[in-house]
This record gives sequence, structure tokens and C-alpha cells, in this order.
Amino acid sequence: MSFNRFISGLRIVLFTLILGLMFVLFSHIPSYSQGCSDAGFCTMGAMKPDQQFNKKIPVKLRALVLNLYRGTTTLSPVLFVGTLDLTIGIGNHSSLQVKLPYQTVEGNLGNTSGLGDISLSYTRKVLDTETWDVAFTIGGKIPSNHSDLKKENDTVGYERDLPMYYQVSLGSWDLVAGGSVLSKDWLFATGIQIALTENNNHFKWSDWPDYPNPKYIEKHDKAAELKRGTDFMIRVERNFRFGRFNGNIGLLPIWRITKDEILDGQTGERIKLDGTTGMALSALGGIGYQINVNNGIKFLYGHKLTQRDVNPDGLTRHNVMSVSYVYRF
Amino acid sequence: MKKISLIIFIILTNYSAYGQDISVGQARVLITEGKPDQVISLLKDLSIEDDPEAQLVLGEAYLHMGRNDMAEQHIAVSLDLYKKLGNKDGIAESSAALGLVFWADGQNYKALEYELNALDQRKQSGNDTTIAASYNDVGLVYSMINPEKAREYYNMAHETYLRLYGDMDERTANSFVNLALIYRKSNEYEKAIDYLYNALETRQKVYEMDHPTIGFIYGALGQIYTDMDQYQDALTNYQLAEGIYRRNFGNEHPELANIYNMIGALEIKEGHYDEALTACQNAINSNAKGFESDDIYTNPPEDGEFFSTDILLVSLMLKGQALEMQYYQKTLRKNDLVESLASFELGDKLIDKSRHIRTNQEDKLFLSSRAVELYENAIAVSLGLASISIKKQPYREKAFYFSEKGKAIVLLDAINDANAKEFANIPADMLETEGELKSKIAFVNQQLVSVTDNDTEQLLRQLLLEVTIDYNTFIKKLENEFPEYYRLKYDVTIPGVNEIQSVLNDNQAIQTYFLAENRERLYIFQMTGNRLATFDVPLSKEFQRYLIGFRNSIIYDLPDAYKMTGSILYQSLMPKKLPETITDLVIIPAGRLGVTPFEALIVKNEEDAEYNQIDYLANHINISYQYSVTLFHQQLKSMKNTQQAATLFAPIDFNYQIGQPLPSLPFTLNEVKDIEGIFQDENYQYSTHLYADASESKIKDGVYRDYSYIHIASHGIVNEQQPELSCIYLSEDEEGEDGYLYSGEIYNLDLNANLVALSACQTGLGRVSRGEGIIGLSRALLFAGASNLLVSFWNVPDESTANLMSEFYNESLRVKKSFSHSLGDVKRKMIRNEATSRPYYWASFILIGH
Repeated sequence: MSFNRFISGLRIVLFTLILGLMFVLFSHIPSYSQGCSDAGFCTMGAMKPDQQFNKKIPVKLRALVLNLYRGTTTLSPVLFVGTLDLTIGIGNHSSLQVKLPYQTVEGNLGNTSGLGDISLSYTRKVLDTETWDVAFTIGGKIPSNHSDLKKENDTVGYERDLPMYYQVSLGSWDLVAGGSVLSKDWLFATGIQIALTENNNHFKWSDWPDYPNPKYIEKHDKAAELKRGTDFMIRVERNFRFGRFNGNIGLLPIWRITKDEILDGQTGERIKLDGTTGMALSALGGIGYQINVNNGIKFLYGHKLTQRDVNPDGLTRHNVMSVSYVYRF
Repeated sequence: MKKISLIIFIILTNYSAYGQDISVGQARVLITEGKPDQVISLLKDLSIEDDPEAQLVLGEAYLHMGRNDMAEQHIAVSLDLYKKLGNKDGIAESSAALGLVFWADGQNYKALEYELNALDQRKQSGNDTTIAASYNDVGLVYSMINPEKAREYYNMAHETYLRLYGDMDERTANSFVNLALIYRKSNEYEKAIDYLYNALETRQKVYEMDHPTIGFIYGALGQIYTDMDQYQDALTNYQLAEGIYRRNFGNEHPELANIYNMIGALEIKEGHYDEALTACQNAINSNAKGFESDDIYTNPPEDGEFFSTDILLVSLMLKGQALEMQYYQKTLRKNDLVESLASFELGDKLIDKSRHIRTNQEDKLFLSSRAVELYENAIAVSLGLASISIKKQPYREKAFYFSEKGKAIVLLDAINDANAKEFANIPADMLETEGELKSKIAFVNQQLVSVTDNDTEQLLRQLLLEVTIDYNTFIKKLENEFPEYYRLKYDVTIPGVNEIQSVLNDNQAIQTYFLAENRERLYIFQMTGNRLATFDVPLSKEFQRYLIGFRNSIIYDLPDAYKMTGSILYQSLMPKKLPETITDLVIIPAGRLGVTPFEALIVKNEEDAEYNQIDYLANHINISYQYSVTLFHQQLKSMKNTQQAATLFAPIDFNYQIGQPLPSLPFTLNEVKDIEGIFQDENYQYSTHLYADASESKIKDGVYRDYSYIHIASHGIVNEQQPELSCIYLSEDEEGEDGYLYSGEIYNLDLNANLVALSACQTGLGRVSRGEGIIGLSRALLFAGASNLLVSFWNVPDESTANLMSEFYNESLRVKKSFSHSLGDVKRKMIRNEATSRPYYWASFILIGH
């Protein structure tokens, strides 16, 4: 038995090394941005990718996920996000999930960091059969600030808001709801995210006269007191499960079904922005490795196939690459 | 399972039953002290060839050491010597000891024959002590197969000992222990614990603290605490027992292995898989001579020498389970599942070996029912491996193999044995002798199950034992003199999936079922010429109820219940639609599915549909049944009887001298006449036997290898409790036959028929035997040499039966369709006809074959 324990210990050391290596890789390989136009709901409850489905493995009531990614946007900001995702089971069919992201952004216009928006959700499995599970999720997103982070150590003599690309929070209270149908091979999920409030961002091009390239400043869409339109998503995912290894490929179209709304600085009126509705489509692929029933790691890659014309919320990612460590207990 | 310790008690309680010389006396004292190895050394150097008592004691010492093979050898010599001397007490003593050897080997039914015989002998002698000892022996054997009977005998022993010796005697203590074990089986734990502590008190006074019999009590207490979910108490008691056994027996002893198995089971229950696996490995090390490995991934070689195959089987089962559970609950390491499967595979090989040493049919069936548990686990692990592997097919094929091993293996063995005799060039006179002995056994068995007075029963039992011994001796002789027979007899191989697929037509599919009762799963294997699909279906709690309800709703015309159950069962039993090209489906059922007409399952339920509008499975496909895929494969490969010869039987009136007269079947006359006409038109030679001419002796006269068709239109009865009493009613005759063609007699017929049609009631029923299928007339006829059978599940009016049969022969012989296709077409025709559309009329008759 002591030999087995030794092997088990060795595995944990190896796993830690792999995780560390991934961390280093992600910090140094330039990747294109953080991925899809997800405002948060795609990784909540029933809507999240790569869900576990094995009726023989006993369900663990608690799961702790540490997710890391680094990305580069289409502009200069580089993001690094670490998310702590905790799921607590309530009985056999319900669970509560809380996600706590911490985000840092570095770009030409400055650096920011801080707690991201907090997600809370409740998921209820309404059908639990040998071959299919059906679950529904309701929840929300709590803003960690008003999207009004300023440029630090500024020398211009006045405070100025950074664009949305630099904000660690979307700045709105959101309502989220969705559901999924899951089998050993397939996941079909759908969800809606409704921003209930506007943010308090007041980024203005005119605040940046000192920046040497005005055209670059104008590439940041205006988002003054932005109220995002409603998002609707569908996830179709094919899973391949082989004991410890699993893989998945999928499509994730997200439709913004109502226009984004901002405050027009000149008229003082709120205006709806053309070009903010439509579909952003991402293709996703992932692999996972279960070290044992308690520990696992996951890698996810997402590539955006289409995007909307105007993206004042700054969620303009071309690809997603992330690594997660999952601990179920 | 604590057999050796129980044997110690029994030997001890009998030791004063007969006189002894000094060396035998010394030997018995040593046995009492738990030193059988010294007994063996002592007696080995003496000249004891002609000394029945010394042979007996030596055998007992070997039994005590777990060497059942040597024990059997010496005790059998003792029994022979006592028989020659005419010493009745000695005969009884040796018989009882031999019974214990068989019991220790898991051959309970054979053991019972010897123990009941010993009891009969002892009753004649009138010695209460030895009679009580026999009560204990009989109770012991019954404890494995019939706990109620065991309690009855144990109580008789207990009362006798109490009366003779009071409550502070070892014999009384022994009976306390026995009763405690029975109370445990009926969940009366408090009472069982009281009894065990009573016995413990006595034994601690009589023996040293370290005596194995005290270890036995700790082991029994451990089991009770395990049942009561008192982990720590259970473990403490097991550890006490382990210590005692280790100090007495050393590291290698079956009883030590047994205790480790119990610890393993306890740790699995607690989810302590590492500890469970260590215990299982210890059990294997203690049981396998010369094998020692702490590596849980190492098993002894299959041809290794083991003290007890039964105990090793339990160790391997537990090890396989612990590894499987460790995989799903903890490691997700594929190797755990691979090694779990390896344990089950070794277990499977040991089961085959065990089966070969069993001579009693009931013992073989009992082993099959136990083996199913191993196969159930092996299938689950194989399918689990398939689900996590990229190459799934090899594991699916393994699962299929294990499913086959859980199907009618005893029947296959028996058929193989019969074929082996045919191909091993055994002279005709020897085969005749063997046939006579078999007939004699069948006759005595048949008499024995129906006898009511005690004296006759005793005589018959003695006769049966003697004839059985003669038969077994004769078979041993055949095996020795004809090595080819020995080789062929034990060469039952399960065909591979490719082999089976190669004999399937493009329009044929096989669907085989395996009921995993412990796991509450139904495993289904669907095979076509180029594909093997597996399905793992959950068994609802209502499944068995639905099966019964389905059948009853057909018989008692309850359309709503029928539609509900027929539709639900279809969903469970037919998980995937077969390809359109498949027209013929062979069902290999399991358990009660063996008496379920799949044809009547409802594909699409429509509440308002009349019987002739229902979408039956019969509308889509021709269905036949078989006991196993292996049997199906063997029959497809075997030569068809090409002789155009048929024989038809219809007694029509049934007025027996013994037993109740049965109602006449006037329509059977028309039925037989119609069929006769078809045979005539198709230029078949045929013989028709009506009324008194349709006699039992006619069918037993031995010319039946010539007939390719045998049709019997009569009454039939199936006895589910005692399948050997199932029979077909024919006419009495002057040659002494009573007219009842019993199942036991059918086994001794020598048929070579392409089809045997039993146009009679309920001929497809029988005792549902786990792992063996339906034990009834069908099984007997298949063994006797019928390739296809037409039998029924319930009573059907003789008029509609007559029509169905005539139509069937018409389709088969005139239109030249296969049997399966012919029956399918007849059923569809009956469905279309409003008067016969109810499944009651058409679903009763099924085809076993293809």
C-alpha cells in the first residue's frame, strides 16, 4: 500500500508541475484575447462547457475550480484572469455556484487590476435519468465596480476613465437564466443574460489629447453609461469520454437581441447603438484529464468565427485559451 | 463458509461413537487438539490399508487440513471396507464423513444424499448421540440450500444434546453455534449473539483459549456485527479469529483465507478499498499453496494448487469488486478495471474446474446460480472498460463471453458429454450399460419425489445413493479407458463473436439478455452478421411485476393492463430498433424472460386500438428462442436430419388407472389428421399413433433417431418445484408404462428430430433456474436431441391450437418456409383475424430453435 501512496503522491507533484508549467506558458505565449463575447453566463451552472456525466462515479457535493487565462485583445490590452469557481451541492439535485474572478489588464493607456464581477447561480436538475440529465439555472451577476477605473498616476491634471477594455467589471447588475440537456455524448444548453442597470463609464476620446496616435484612441468604442443589450446563447457540444481523458468540441452562438445603449455626450440623451445586435459565433474545443475522482485539469480553446460590428462592452475576443484545475470533494 | 471449523465440531461430537485402537485413539486426541498434521504423520507410517477406522480418521485429518481430495480418497476406502464387513455403524460414520467432504467442496446435494443415508442407518441403530450428530450434519448441508430445513434439523440435534448432556457440553455448544448461524440468516441477530456467547463460554472452559473452535465463534460474531453495520466490533472479532487460526494453522489454511475474505467484505462495505484489497490478497496467499505475493495486481496461476476453490472464488470475487469500486470511487485508473476483470477471468476458470468435479445435477445447477454473480460483475466491468476505451469491441466481446457463461452451461456440458460418448468410440455395450444406469437413476428419482411413506423413502434413498455411486464409478472408468471421451467431454468452448456472426444469415439477429439482479441492471447484447451492440438498461423495481402482469393480462384478457405492460416492457427489452433487413430474431432470454412471449410486446401503444389493430412486435419480425447463443451456434453447425420421416401422437382420451382422468381433446384428432395429410402430400414417411396406440412405450422404443418430425398433441403438465415430475400425458400400455412421459425419462430418449412439436398446455414452462434458464420439458427435449421445439406458455383451447399447428406445418412443409418464418406468418394471420387476434390465442406457442 505504501507503494501506491508513493505513486499517488508522485502524481500530485507531477500535476502541480504541469499546472505550473501551463501557468508559465500562458504568461508568455501571446494569444489573441480572452475569447467569445461571453458576458459571464456561458460558464454558469447548466450553461457551462465540459460538464461531468458519469452515473457510476458518485456525485461530489462540492467542486472548487481554479481557472486561469491570459489573453490579448484586438487592441493593446493584455488580460490575465484568475477565477475561483465554487459549487456547493444542496441535496442530490440542486447546487449553488459562486464565481470570483480577479483580473489584471495592461495596455497602452494604463494598467488596471481588481476583483471582477461576481456570479451567483442556483441550478436544479429536473430530470436525472440513466441517459439524460435536464437542468435549469437562475442567477445573476453582481458588479464589482461601476466600470469607471481611472488611469493611475496620471499627469494631465484631471481624472479620466479608461475604456471598457481596461475595466475589470462590466459595471451592471445582470439577471441570468438558462437550461441544458446533457448526455454522455452531447450537451445542449441555452441561456439568457439581461443587464438590469447601466454602468458608470465615461471614457471620452477627447480626454486623451496627450496620446500620440488619436486614431488608436478612436478604435475604443464609446461606452458612456453603457447598458448592454440582452444576450441569448445556445451551446451545442459533442463529448468524448474515455475514463480519465475526455475531449469535447462545440459551437457557441451568442445573439445580442437588443441594442446597446449609451449616453450621448453631446445631446445628453441616451441613444441606441446600431451594429451592436447580431450573432457572435465561437467554435470551442477542450480536453480534460481526471487524476482521480477528486482532482482534474481541463484545457479549453475557443475561436470566434463571427462577431458583431460594434462592441462598446469591449468583449471582442478572437480566441479563448484557458486551463482549469478542478477539485471535487 | 467456515467449513473447516464446523467440521472440527462434527468430528469431535462423533469421536466416541466407536471403539478404537491406541494409534487411532491418539490420532483422535490430536485432532481434538487441532493438530491434524501430526495425525497424518502418525497414521502414514502405519499399515492401515485394511483398517476402516484408521482410514476414516486419516480422511478426517485431511479434511481438517482442508485437503478434501485426500479426505475423499481415504474415507471412500473406509466406507468400502465397512461395507465389506457389514458394519452398519461404520457405514453410517463413513457416509457422514464423506458427506462432509462433499459439503466442504460445495457439492451440497451430493452431500445431502450421504448425510440422509447416514441418518437412516443411525436411526436403525437407535443411538441418540449419533442420531443427533446426523441431525447436525444434515442441518449443516441444508444450511446452504434450505435454511428452514436446516433450522428444523439443528433444533432436533439441540434438543437431543440438551436432554443427554445439559447445556455445558461441547456438543450442546456446537448446536448453539449452528442455531446461531441460522438465526443470523433470518436476521435474528440478538438471539444469534446470545447463542454464540453461550457456546463461547462452554468452549473456553473445555479448550484452551487458542483453540480453532473458539476462533470460529469470533468469526461468526464478526459476520453478525458486519450485518448489523457495527464495523469496529466486526473487525475486532475477525482479528481475534485471524490470530487464533494463524497460531494454529500457520499462514496457509483455507479457514484463515475465509476470515480474510470476511475482512475484505467488511472493508468493501465501509469503502476502505486499500484495506479490502490487502485482505483479499492475504486470503489468496493463505489458500494457494506455495503462492505468496503482496502485490494486489498479482493472482496465482490457474493451474496452481489451492486448499479450497470455493473460498478462492470468493476472494477473487471480492478482489474484483474492490478494484472496480476503487476505480469508480477513487482512482479512475484503468488498470484497476483491467485487474478487476483479470480476477473475474481467473474466477471463471475456477468455476469451470469446479463444475467438472461435480457429478450431481442439482449441485451443478447450484454452482451455476452462484457463478452468475461472478459473471454479472465481469460483464459490468467489461462494459465499463468498453465505455472508457478507444477500442471498445474487445471488451464488448468479453462481456458477451461472460453473458454466455451464465447461460445454460450445465445443459451444454450435458450435451457435450453425450456427444463425447458418441465420438470417442466407446463400445455399444458400455453405452448401453451407461444408459441403463441413467434410466435407473431417473426412475428412482421419480419414485422418490412422489413417495409418501418413510420406510419406502429410506429404501429408495439408499438405492439412489448406490446407483449413483455405481454410475459415477462407471463414468470414471470411461474417462480412464477412453481419454478422447475425457478430452471431448470437458471441451465446452464458447464461440467467439466472429464465429457466431459467420453462421448468421443477413436477415438474422440474436438478442441475448443477462439479468444482473444484484446490480439491478439488464444487459442486452444485440448481434447481427456484422455488428455487436451492447445495452446496459436499468431494471426498475417493477420489472418483475410487469413481466408477471404482462403474462397474466394476456391470459385473463385485461386489455388495459396488457397494453401498459406490453408497451413498457418493449421499451426496456428492445432498446434499439433492429436494421430493416433483419426479419428473424433469436431471443436468448434470462430468468423470467424465459416464459415471456416477446412476440406480444407492443411497439407503439394506442389506447383505443382493438386487438387486431395493435402494433405487436410479431408484426415486424419472426421470433424464435434458444437457451444460449452457444447452443444456437452448435445447432446451426450440426447436420440436419434429412430423412423425410415423421411420427404423430394423439392419445385423445385420458383415463388413467393411477391419478386423475383428464379431459378428452377431440380436436387433436383433426389436428393430427390435417398434419398427416400435409406429410402425405410432401411424400414423408409417417406413423400416426392415436388413442391407446399413442402410448409411452411407443415413444420410448428407441427408433426415434429416424424421425425428423415428432408431433405430440396431448396434455402436458409442468412441475416448477420438481421439474423431473413435469410430463407429457400419453396412453398407458400393457408393457408396464404408466403413460406419463416424465422429463427425467425424456433426457434418456435418443432423438434426432429437426422439430418436436408439443401441441399441449404449458409445455414451455418450468422452474426458472438462475444461470440455467427454464428447467422443464423443453430443456429435456433439447438434451435428447431435438433441434427445434414448438412449445406453449399457457393453456390454449384445443380448437385454435389445432388450427395453429395445421397452418404451421402447411407454411413450413408446403410453402417451404423456415420454422421461424412459418410460425411468424401463422401468428400474423391470426392477428388479422378478429376471432383469434387476442394474443392469448397466438402468443402461447413459441419456437425454440431457429
